[in-house]
Amino acid sequence: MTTGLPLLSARDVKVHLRVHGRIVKAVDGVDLDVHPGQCVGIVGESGSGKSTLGRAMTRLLPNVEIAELSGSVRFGGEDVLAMAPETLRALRRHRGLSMVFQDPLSYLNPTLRIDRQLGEALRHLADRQAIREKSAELLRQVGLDDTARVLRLYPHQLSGGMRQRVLIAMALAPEPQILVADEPTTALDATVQYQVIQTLRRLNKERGLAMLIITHDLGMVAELCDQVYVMHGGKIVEAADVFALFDAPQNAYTASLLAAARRLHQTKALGSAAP
Amino acid sequence: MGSMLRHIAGHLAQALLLLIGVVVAIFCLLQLIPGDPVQAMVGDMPVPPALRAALEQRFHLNEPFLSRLYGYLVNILHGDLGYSMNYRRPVFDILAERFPRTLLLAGVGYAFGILIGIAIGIHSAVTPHRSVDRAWSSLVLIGYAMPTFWVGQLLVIVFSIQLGWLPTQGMGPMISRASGIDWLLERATYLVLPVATYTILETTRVARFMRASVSETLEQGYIVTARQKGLSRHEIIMGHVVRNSILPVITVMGYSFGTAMGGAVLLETVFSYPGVGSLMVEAVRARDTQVIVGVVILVACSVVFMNIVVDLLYAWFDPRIRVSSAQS
Amino acid sequence: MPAEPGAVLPVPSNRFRTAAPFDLLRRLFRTRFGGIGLVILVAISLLSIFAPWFASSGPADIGSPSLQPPSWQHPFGTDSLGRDVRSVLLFAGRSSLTIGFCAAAMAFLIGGTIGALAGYFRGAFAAVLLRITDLFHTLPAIIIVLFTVSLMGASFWLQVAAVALAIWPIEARIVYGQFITLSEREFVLAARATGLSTPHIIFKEILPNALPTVIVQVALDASTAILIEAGLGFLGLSDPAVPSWGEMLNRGQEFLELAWWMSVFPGMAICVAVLGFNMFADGVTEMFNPRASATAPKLEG
Repeated sequence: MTTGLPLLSARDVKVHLRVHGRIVKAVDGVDLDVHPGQCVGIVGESGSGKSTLGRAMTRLLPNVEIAELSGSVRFGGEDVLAMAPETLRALRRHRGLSMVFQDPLSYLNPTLRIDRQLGEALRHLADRQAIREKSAELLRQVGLDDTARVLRLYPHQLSGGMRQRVLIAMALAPEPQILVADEPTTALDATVQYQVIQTLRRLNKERGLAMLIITHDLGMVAELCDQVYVMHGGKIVEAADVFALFDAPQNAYTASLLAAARRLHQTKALGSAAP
Repeated sequence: MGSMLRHIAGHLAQALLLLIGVVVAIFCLLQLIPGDPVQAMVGDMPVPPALRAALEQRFHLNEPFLSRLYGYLVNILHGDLGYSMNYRRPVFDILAERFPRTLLLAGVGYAFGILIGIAIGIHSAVTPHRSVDRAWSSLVLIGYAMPTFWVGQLLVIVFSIQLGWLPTQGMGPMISRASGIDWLLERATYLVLPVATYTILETTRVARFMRASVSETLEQGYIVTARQKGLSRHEIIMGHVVRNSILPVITVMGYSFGTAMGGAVLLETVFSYPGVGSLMVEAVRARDTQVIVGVVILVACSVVFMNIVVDLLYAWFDPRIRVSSAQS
Repeated sequence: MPAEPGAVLPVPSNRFRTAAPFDLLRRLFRTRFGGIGLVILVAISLLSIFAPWFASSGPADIGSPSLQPPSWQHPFGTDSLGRDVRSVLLFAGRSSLTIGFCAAAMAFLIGGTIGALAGYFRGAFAAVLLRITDLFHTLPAIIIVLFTVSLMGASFWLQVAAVALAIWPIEARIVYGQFITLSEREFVLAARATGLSTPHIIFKEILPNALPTVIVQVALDASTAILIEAGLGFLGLSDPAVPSWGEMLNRGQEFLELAWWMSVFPGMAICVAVLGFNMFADGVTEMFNPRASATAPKLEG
């Protein structure tokens, strides 16, 4: 699994932001590898810098003032962080460096139909017919089989889980080798969470799509991931194979995270029927 | 489509109620004027007894409140807005003659202003150069602060008086021998300055709103999604930013049409333009109540109408209004 | 949770914080225009209050030769009555600014009360109030003012009332909106749950949080009031006993060709005052809503 060259490789990535006049070291020297077909999880509590890391790696940082952005993120033989904008755009269109976020509603344009939004990601195809067929295929890949109907809908007419799957479909348009997901299920209901997690699992296991899952949900990590990085205060404090991590965490912080998660799980199980 | 029609019908009904409300309110206020109602209607001139009797009969002045109100409403529906002693013509006729002129001026200026304002707003919010944004914002702010009629005065001072390029006032020359295209051009020169003033007025309002709206749109998640798809800057702006940012501006358009109508009052005075605005001022000076009321009702109608148009426009742009959400 | 070394601080959602006044001032000056706006407002207020000290002659002195262009002696020229324009400007400023402030205050009282009532009690009562608000909102300001003036005359206070009548709907809408959004917020629900009395909730919980929005709106209303009053004066329908900027422009209209300075300087004065209010309002908005002004996000790559 971890043989061969990594698909996505981050070295000494630093993201320092300027917030209200002070420097905040959101990401402070992170090394990370994702190999082809591997599913890597980054876990940590809110404020650990994991989202910022993910967005820095895909060059989709939000509109905050950046004091420093350094390090390298090698993808397909090139450093994403150092790329010129046109090269980056071409990369996105043809090889894909997509990210799926937490709240699907705001990530879809409310005034455009789904077919139009999916079509935007497929402009490299020859003609309208091809685009339509490919759009339908993408929707089927994420488990939305009633493609003709879904394509004609507006985002507000879909449920939360469907929206998230549409976004995943959009991310799959350029036939990427890796998909980054930032808290993909946090905003969804439990049953819908299950559907989305299963979709991701299928994409990883059956299609060999590498994944970088950023989350605070250790349960999801246990289900999906092969390799786990634990982040705290902008740094990686532990990196291990998923089984090793859960069985024998090396770091005190990791241990406390796991303990807390177990307690929460037990409380939930006692309080209601287990999902 | 059905929900859209229901939506429109709902707004029409509301608009109608609003208009009736305005008319009733005006009527009630008029009853509050102290003194002789006939005198108030006639204005500053003495009232001969025969005329008094005729007016009392026509407007049911000796009958109880509600039947007077009813009579008033019925009259209006028939297009009878009273008779102006000042101009010696039915109010309706005066309005019919002058309103198209105001509409021409205000309408064209309003339309230009919106288009230019949208363009400036987008450019201002999207440009990566902060100095450009500041420059536009400063210009817009200053433009917004200038009283509209003062802008008109300035334009007249610069272009008519100092440079002599354009005429200072009126709708057309006293005597004109031009015909055909020349006539049109000649007329047009009289309209340039007033229309330019309206345009500036409207542009500043719209640009401000648009910039704020675009700034907010740019923060939205779907812009990030668009970036991920590898869309170019131009494609993102055209495909996602414009459509979504326009919505708040559309809601403002109805109200700012009212402002344009209000501006007509002042601007037509500056340019001595014989429209409904200058009519209002003349009527106030002459205490010609019938005309004043007529103008108020007319303006209320046009603003309400514009609001309906704006509502339709909004529904067209925002599918969340048109299409009810269906959970699957 | 206390800020960790790696934490990215979010923009706080409960925007009103009891901060020291100097801190607020500093933040205002860091916005694009807010500081400039405040400086302008203070300056024109001082100039108006101390007008007699700054003016070279009284408002009614007609001793100088009339229609003189700007010169050392008369920096803004003289008008048709032989008055020093600069001096008249200062005195006229007093009435224009007073009308502006007073009308805005009145509009806030009327509109704010109506908006608050509608926002707190809701239901059919609120619906009726809102309809009335819409009624007034539909008509353009000048029309309302002219209508009122034609019915009741134009003494100073009637002018103020007429202008207030034109702008209260905006205030009502804003206050109503604030009450609606804030009533749903957690801290109000918590206050209700613990049984705090209604007036307490309104004054101690909702109002302080609505304050920034209200301040902004009042400042904007004041600037609108000044513009409306100027229009009224320009049309020659304001109180003739009281000099105002609008009235100066009315005189200037006749002399556009001969004495441009009679029109240009009063207009500039109005401009500066309105700018001051608007910049201040923009600054306060930015203080509590930083995203509205930050550098444009990158769209390429």
